[in-house]
Amino acid sequence: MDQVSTLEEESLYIIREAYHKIENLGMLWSIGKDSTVLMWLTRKAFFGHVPFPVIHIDTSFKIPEMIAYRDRMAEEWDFNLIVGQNTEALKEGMDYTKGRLNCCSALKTAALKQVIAQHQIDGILLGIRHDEEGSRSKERIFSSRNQAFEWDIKDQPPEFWDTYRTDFPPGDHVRVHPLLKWSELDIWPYIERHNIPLIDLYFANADGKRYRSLGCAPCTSPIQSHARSVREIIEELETIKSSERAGRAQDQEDLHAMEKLRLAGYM
Amino acid sequence: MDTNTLFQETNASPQSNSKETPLKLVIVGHVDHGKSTFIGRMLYDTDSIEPEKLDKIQRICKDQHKPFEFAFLLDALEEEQLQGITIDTTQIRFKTPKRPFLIIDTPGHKEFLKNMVTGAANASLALVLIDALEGIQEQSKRHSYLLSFLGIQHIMVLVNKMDLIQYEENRFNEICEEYTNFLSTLDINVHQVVPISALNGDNIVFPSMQMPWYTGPTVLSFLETFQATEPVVQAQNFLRLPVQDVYKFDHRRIITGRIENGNLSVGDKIKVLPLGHEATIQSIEAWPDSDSNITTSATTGHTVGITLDYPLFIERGNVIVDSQYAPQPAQYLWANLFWMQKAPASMEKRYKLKLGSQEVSVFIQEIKRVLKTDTMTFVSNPRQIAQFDTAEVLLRVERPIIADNFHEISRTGRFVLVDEYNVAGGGVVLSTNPLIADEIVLETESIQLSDR
Repeated sequence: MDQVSTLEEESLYIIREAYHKIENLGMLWSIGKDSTVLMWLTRKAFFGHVPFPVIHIDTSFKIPEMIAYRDRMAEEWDFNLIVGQNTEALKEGMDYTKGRLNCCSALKTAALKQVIAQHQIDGILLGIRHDEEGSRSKERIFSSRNQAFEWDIKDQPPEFWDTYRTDFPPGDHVRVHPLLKWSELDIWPYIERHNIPLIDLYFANADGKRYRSLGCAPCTSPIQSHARSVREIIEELETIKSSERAGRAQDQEDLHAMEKLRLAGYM
Repeated sequence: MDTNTLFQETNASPQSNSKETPLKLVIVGHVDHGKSTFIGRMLYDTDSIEPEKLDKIQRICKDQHKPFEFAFLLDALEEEQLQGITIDTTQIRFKTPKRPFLIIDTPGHKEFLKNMVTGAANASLALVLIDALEGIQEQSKRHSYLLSFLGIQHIMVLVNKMDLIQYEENRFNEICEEYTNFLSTLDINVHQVVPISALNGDNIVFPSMQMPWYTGPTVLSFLETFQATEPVVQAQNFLRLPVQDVYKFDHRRIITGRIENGNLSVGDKIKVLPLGHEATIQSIEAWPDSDSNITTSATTGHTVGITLDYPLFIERGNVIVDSQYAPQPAQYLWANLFWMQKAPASMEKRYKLKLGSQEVSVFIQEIKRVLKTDTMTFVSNPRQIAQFDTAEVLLRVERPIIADNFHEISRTGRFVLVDEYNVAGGGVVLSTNPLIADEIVLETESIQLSDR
């Protein structure tokens, strides 16, 4: 088996394990390439079905094409879509001008908390990867959060021999990361191999720009690129030296911005 | 052992590509012997670091009024950087024109041993770092012992901080000898010992100008040609498909699981353990449909969905095997147990044993002897197993399970013990037995169990 197939098999196993172990499972879909691959793997794991709700956290500041794409795919792939939004914070005027980290906490973390509480979800599948950013690189595949959503980064459970910690005290909720071991350069060849449909924003437009990572419009910038196909993106990434999330402004707010966000429950 | 000899000449492919599976390396060793610094140096000298990352580390070091710290590439957590330690394991990939690599960093502090185990368990080769000045320390020994416990048989030893001992050959030889003597008691192949300075980059990617007496390969050139040889065992064809789940989303009743050993094909006669009912594999299901048209057989590592010709009652935890070569379900296991939890392992307590998808209540019936991993000494007939120690134990499971000898089929010969919510220990099966305890004790007295 080659590298991508090995990762695929492991992910399928993890997704099925989560489905068996977690009673009220959900999946977070950000519309980006990683969670779209996760969606594909989910359908593969369940032979074409998506047997749990798919959650999208809509900050209301997403790049507009993302919402249109989301609604189209929900219909095409036939899954139960839950859209979470922190309407209260939005009413009070929350946006990135109040501080990017505050904005992420309110419109993403708090919105996720609300959805989880409302739908009594006790575990979610997420498409994060170890090579995206430092605190994600330290994650476990099955990673629990206490009732307050906190992540105890100094005392994570052992996870070896493909055995995950799947027993939890009541009230905990679990983050499951089937793509944790994938890198950006595994995701794209996988997309190519299976011809997985992606939002156009990833491909270079007429102005020679494309998004390498997707997020909210005010905090996400495209990169200079002429890659118009998955193959051309792979070729571009083989040579590029900048990091994937360089276009994500919230990461640059503080030297440990993502860690701080994630300790409090961010994805 | 001749430390300058390459044990294995190889024929690694000359060009790496993104499809090739990376060589998985784990870096272990005592605290402050330079694990994270070594990795940082390796990445830097192979030009594998994104400029923004270098820039970010420069800013952090400036913030903390420290000189540039390679270790921060992997020690990404704020606490790790403030304290200058590695708390949790992480992995990072890089590649050279010869092949791709995946490096797993692990913490050297005893307190974070479970994180070290988490990282190390997946590696095919371990690099043990030893500080030339401090010499062999507690974790140098404990880590190498745990590597052999986890089934990692190949190691490379790096004697680091040679700059602190003026690149002196005698001291290097002393450490080599002492360590090799220790390792000879474990079932581990030492492939190469290299004197290095992670700080200055000696013998990591570039040959050192300071140590003309060392004529062996640099770390990188060794790694680029290393090929792990897996022992060929007769059991490699025996099918082990633990049932992960049974789905009925549509008209099909699909049995899913990962093939942990062997192969299966449509038309194969199988047996479902522990009950032993037989059936024939009717189909291998897949999605999208274009995949399923070509799937008539599958092998180790594949997560499959199959249907059977006969509607047997099957549930998670059953194990599908070849009908002709079905193992005996076991009620008792002799095992080597490694204990990670603070509260000691006790014979009075009930634990949950997880072996693949099998989960069953278990008692520790007998503790034959404990190996204290700080001093590497044995204690006979102990009553309990303390944190970080290992022990040879007899386990009694509440209902029969399918387990294999770890040395024959490793993936179904290893398990974890769960105490309430937590993974408390890990173990490898030495032998299984369906008999009652008294008979076992009699039998095993005449069998020489492995002395490791």
